[in-house]
Amino acid sequence: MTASELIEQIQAQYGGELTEANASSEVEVWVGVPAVDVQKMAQYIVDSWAPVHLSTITGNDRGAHIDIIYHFVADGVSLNLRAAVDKAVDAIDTITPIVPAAIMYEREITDMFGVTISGHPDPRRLVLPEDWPEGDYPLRRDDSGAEEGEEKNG
Amino acid sequence: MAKLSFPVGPQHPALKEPENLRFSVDGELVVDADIRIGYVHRSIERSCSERNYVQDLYLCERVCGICSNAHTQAFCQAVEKIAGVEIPERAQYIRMMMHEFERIHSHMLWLGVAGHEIGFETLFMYVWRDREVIQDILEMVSGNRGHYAMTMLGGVRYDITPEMVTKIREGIAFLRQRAEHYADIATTEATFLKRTVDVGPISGARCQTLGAVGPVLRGSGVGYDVRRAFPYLKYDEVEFEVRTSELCDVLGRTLVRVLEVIDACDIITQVLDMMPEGDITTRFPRKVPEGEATARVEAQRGELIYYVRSNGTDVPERVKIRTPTLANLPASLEMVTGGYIADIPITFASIDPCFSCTDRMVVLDDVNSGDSRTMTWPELVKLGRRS
Repeated sequence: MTASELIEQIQAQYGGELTEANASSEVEVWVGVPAVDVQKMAQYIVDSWAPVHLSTITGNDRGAHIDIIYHFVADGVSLNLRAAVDKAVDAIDTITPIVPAAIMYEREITDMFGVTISGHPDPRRLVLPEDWPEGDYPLRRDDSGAEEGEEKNG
Repeated sequence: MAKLSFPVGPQHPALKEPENLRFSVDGELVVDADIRIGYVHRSIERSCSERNYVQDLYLCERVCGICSNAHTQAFCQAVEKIAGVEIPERAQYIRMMMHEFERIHSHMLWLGVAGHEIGFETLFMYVWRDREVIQDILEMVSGNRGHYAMTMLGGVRYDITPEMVTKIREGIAFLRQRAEHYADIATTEATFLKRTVDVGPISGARCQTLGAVGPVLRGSGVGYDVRRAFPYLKYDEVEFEVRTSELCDVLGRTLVRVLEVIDACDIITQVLDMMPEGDITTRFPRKVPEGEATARVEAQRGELIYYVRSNGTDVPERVKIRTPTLANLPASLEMVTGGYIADIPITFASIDPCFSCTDRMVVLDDVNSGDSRTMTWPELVKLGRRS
């Protein structure tokens, strides 16, 4: 399948709901959905193109919101699914029950960005040590991020 | 009978890196496995967004000592994609050659370690002796045995001279012949087969579900190789086979790696034949225009993915790295579960784990009951003798 075919198929299904849909090359697409639709979208991707490979999940602090990007490989196309999590909400549904490979990547998101993954089967701390202060998220660029020159466990 | 849990680590049961494993056992059988990592977390992703692209290149190279070239390749691939810079053809071929040199050295290192884990020290000695040939080639080409610093934004650092080509061809011919010998050993030597057949089993479908990559996935019969699925550099111009094995055990993973060494030798030979004359670098801008890109490469341990977002300055906004070992951890915990305690080291080694690259998470298959009590020595002996 080519990237444009994949985009057409997604748009035919969810046209009006997508926040972005473009192909950056013949084998790579970027699709955006509202954060509340992420489970529905993951289910659709798995149902349409199984077996789907989830490479990883990227988080990125963009100021007012946090970008969560799911990097899938679906039928030979690199499918990047983006959901913007509003910092006022600071939570997104888990996709682990649909895509088991997401289990660790989602925990990393919570650890690094403080975004709650609702319904995650194992929401314990991941990368950070047990004595890391609550409410301090290393990759966040606001008040709850690490400060310049700050040292933990010095 | 109550389950017995015991910790292993932070010293690794197989390799020289720290992480903590907790096994629940019933007699000699492992019934549950859990892992705690994070001991060597170095905040590389955060550091990357506080340094410029050239500094980041050096930082990414140091994510891992074994697959350092794969990291610089993935980083450069993502940044060059955003900047729209096409590197010269000769540089692409040289990068490919470095990539395959690294695969040979890493797979041979792994095979030696695998021999060591199963008490087959002769294999370890022979493989590591032969591996010196590829290490000498790497040193000749880049000046370093590790952290080659060959890949730079916009090309490669050093050119390959005709004298080098002769030496590379000689070395590769020798290594190819040795790899064939090791493939023979792996399939016929009773000592090796006894410890690898049906050890650490996992099905291809399960590997896919758990997101496994690289030789772990291919050793269970799933032919996903980034070099073929998303060709980068000049991989669409060389001939090679995506090696898979239907064995789904440690032997399957071993065979995939040994055969990949043979393939890597063939790819290098093709590259030497095809490589055109020309520049090895192109001018790379200090500031990278705003944009984002992902880059996947097939590192020797499996798919390595980088995500880079730039903001128009000389410092990236975000660099995200996912290393192959992290993707393989859930699968490795399933592999040891149901096997013998004695097979834990070789099973863990069979994913070729690298924790300095990975250190990011904890995986839990199942939460242990939490009850604890001390067992007496006779109780332990009795427990160990249960069939």
